[in-house]
Amino acid sequence: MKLEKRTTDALLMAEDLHVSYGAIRALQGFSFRLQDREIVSVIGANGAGKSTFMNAVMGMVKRDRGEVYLDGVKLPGKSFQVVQSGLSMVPEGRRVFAPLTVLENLEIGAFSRVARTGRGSVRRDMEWVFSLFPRLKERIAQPAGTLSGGEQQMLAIGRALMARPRVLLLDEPSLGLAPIVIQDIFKELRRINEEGVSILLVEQNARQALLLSQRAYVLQTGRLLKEGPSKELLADPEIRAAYLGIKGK
Amino acid sequence: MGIEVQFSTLFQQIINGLSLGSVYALIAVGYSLVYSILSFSNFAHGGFLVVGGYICYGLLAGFSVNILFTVPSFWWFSGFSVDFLLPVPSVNIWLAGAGALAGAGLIAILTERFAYKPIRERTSITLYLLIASMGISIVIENIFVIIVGGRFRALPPNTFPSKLFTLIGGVTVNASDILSLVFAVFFLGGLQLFLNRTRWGLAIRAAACDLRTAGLMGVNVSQLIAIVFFVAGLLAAVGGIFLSARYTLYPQLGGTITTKAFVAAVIGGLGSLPGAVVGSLALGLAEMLTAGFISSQMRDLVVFSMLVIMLLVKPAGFFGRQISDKI
Repeated sequence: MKLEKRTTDALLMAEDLHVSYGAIRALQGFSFRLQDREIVSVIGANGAGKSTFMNAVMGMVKRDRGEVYLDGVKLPGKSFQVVQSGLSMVPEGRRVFAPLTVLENLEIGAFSRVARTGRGSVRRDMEWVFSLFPRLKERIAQPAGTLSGGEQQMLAIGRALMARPRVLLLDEPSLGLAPIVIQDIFKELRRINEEGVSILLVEQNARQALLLSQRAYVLQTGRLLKEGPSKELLADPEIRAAYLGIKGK
Repeated sequence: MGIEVQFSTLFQQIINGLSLGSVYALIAVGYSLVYSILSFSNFAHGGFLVVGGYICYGLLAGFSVNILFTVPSFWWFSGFSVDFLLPVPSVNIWLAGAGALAGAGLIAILTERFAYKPIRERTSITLYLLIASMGISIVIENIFVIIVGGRFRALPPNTFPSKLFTLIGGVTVNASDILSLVFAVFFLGGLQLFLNRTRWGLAIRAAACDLRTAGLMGVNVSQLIAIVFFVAGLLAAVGGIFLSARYTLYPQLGGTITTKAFVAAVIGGLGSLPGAVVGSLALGLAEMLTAGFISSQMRDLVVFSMLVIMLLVKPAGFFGRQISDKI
């Protein structure tokens, strides 16, 4: 028997998600949980359905079946409503608004809540973002398109934080960045998490993702292959061979 | 003596050109704004201008609406019908103008809601939107042919001051030209303030860069598009009022002017608002200088030559969007 209201200890929960693009079934019954203040990663190869999963949670693609719950309440279908209910996403490829300044990019991040919380809190949150990424403050009046790739990623994360999310979703934050920059950004993600924001991370860079997260899901062609504590997956020979590029012991 | 006459003609035609160009700018800017958000050429844009022009004309002259209300008969109840004329009194230019702006804005929103939105939601191919907009422009044109007829109409005399000022050197300037220039600057300045100083303005600028990601920022994209169409329709109506004061009003006016706005927007760089203003002024000046020094009939030839030259020399236009995405 199905219950209408879910009583669960999970902050974010997805059940039996199905998504297809025409005849291609990108996601075939994926279920997922994220506890409050947890970092969870979803790893998998290209085309495994990772980004589709994230877009389905955010209301960017239509779900054929399945629901997503935040604190036991069904998430609305449209992206702007999802953002208002407390989820915020850093899209793949950063997608900062290139002609807009750094400041304007951060301001637009607060769009959905500025009427509710007032301008003062926007300024406070901006100071918090600047304390995480001081480089953004140096470049505050510059158009975002003139920033380096790493700085653009910082801006995209800062912009998402301006919405004051309970869960921060990141789609491939390491994409196209130098290893040293990736290290920096993942260090800041840990700090953001320590300040109370739960994190859902989708990554092809499985090693970095598993090192950061507490638990992980492994997706393969739209289905769950494995799930468990990240440490165990890091030690799993099958995962090591397929996703970490390490053969043998 | 001859040179003096030439000089005063030049000066006069520059003022005329700026005045006409500023009216084009009102139309081209709205057109460019829609293009920047949805990446299609809205050929129904001139229709909004015609809607604004006719609402203004109707409210100035006063008209009556024939209301026919029929209750059909069924079973034991014999139906009846009510048929009466609802007179709409004539009002002053301020009220008529406000009505025209609001009416055209509303028609623009409805056009988007019922003609474009269903297409947008099904496909990302913008060619379909372009074709739909051509259809809508024909629909609007023919609605006016049916309800008010196809003949040319002029706004009632003395709607706008028509006093002539004589400046130094025998240059005469028509007060209504100055008026249209002032109003165009006022509305374009207002748009600039709206885009740069308000929350929704910022959202529109973000959406012009990346509509999908703007939605991820918590912006209600449907509402944003409605606002953009309202603003575009409103600005077109301002242009429509001044065009019908300068020339005449007729159902096909929209098509002619859309072409001009399109040329102006392409010259300035499609999707760029400063580009639309610069392109429009260049177009207005070119038309008026051609009319003043060569021949009035050569105006359109010059306009389209400018388009061809621009496309050959700098296809992106003066302020064309450069593709500089970092991956």
